[in-house]
Amino acid sequence: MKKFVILVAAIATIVSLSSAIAKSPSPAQPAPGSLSAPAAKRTVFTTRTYDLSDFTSIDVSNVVKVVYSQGDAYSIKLTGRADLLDEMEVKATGGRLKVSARRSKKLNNLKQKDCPDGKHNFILQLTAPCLENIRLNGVSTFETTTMMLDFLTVRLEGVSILKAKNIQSQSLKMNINGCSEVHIESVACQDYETSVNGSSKVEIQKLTADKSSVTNISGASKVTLPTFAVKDKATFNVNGASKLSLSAKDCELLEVGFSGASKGDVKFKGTAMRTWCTGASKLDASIDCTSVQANCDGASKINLSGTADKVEIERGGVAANINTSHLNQY
Amino acid sequence: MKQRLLILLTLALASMTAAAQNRIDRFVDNESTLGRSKYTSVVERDPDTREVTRVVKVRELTEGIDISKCKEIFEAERETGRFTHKVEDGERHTLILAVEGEQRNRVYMLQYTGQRPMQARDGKVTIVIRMKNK
Repeated sequence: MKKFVILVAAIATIVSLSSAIAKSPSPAQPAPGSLSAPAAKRTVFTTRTYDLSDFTSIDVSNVVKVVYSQGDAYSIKLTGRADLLDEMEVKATGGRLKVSARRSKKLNNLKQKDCPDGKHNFILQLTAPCLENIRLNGVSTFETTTMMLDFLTVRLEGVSILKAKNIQSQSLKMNINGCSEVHIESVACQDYETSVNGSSKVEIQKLTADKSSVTNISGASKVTLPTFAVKDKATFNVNGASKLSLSAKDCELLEVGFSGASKGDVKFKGTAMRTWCTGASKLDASIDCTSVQANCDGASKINLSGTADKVEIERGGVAANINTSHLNQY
Repeated sequence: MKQRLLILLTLALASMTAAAQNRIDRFVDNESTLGRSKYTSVVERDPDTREVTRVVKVRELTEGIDISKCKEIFEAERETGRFTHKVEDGERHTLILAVEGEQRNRVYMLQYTGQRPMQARDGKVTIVIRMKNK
């Protein structure tokens, strides 16, 4: 019995010691801003406040993370390495807040420990009553929870990211380029217009538009809209090697066109759908609607399933293929 | 034992009938042919109950090879229902296959013009599915 107790105690000691070693920070990977080795200098981060107001647009470049909250008063706070804050220029002219880097090599190739969040060179905490234009460049990120406004225009370039929980706007226009990403939980608007280019990604969990929507996707981009409701007319043009994943409902007319080597996975419940595929594109559509009109050309392929009371399909090209074996099966 | 045999026999017959119907349905539904073609489908519903009463599917065939392939399928399936082949003016062909089912009746019709299917033109396959007791 004694031997057993000693054995258990020894195992417990070994386990607790090894877990303590595992929990301690590794000297090779110090936490941002921390002092992990006696020789290493502690990175000092400072927050600078700017007294700027009367702007409705923001233009951000370099490697900056903007954390925006809509509020009555203006507040701008920039956090970064103390000796680097002077390298950034924050100014408001002509209704536009511009956050950019001065011509300096100091901001190039900053290490993880030099970034306040381990990723971005600076963090801009921003409060303003209304931001109608958001323009991001470089490796910038814009994060917000709720935005309620009349018009919103977003332009992303470089490797920018826009993250939002809830956007309510009369009109929403987005131009996403480069290798940028948009992740929004919910959008409610009247008109929606988006152009996604390069190798960008757009994911909006829930999108409702009272009037119409136009989405152009090109390059090798990907658009995911799992809950999409547009009352009047929704148009999608998918080109290049892009992908569209769409689940649309309550729509009078859904127009979806594919060309190049693009692909689509579309679920539609509404009144009418018009689709066309050219090149080597492919569409898998699951429908529950009154009418469907489809054109298939080149070496494209359309798989239609579900039900539609009126179906019109035209096929051309040598290798075009439309499969309706799971459509109107009675 | 007898009951089991009867069930198996019924199932085998039912699957054979379904397969027979499906060959023409599959041809019409799976567009993988050469050249241009057109497919239309209309579903008729009871205005009060919205239940489906009739489904009409039409596929136009422009190439002789498609018409020939379709005629072969019709000939192969002729035993599964009432089959007629009518020729007008020596070149206007109409093949009709009527298949009665428990829940729905299906009528398959192939029309084309030309003495030989491979050189035929104006080909068209029509499928009419009528729901029973509607």
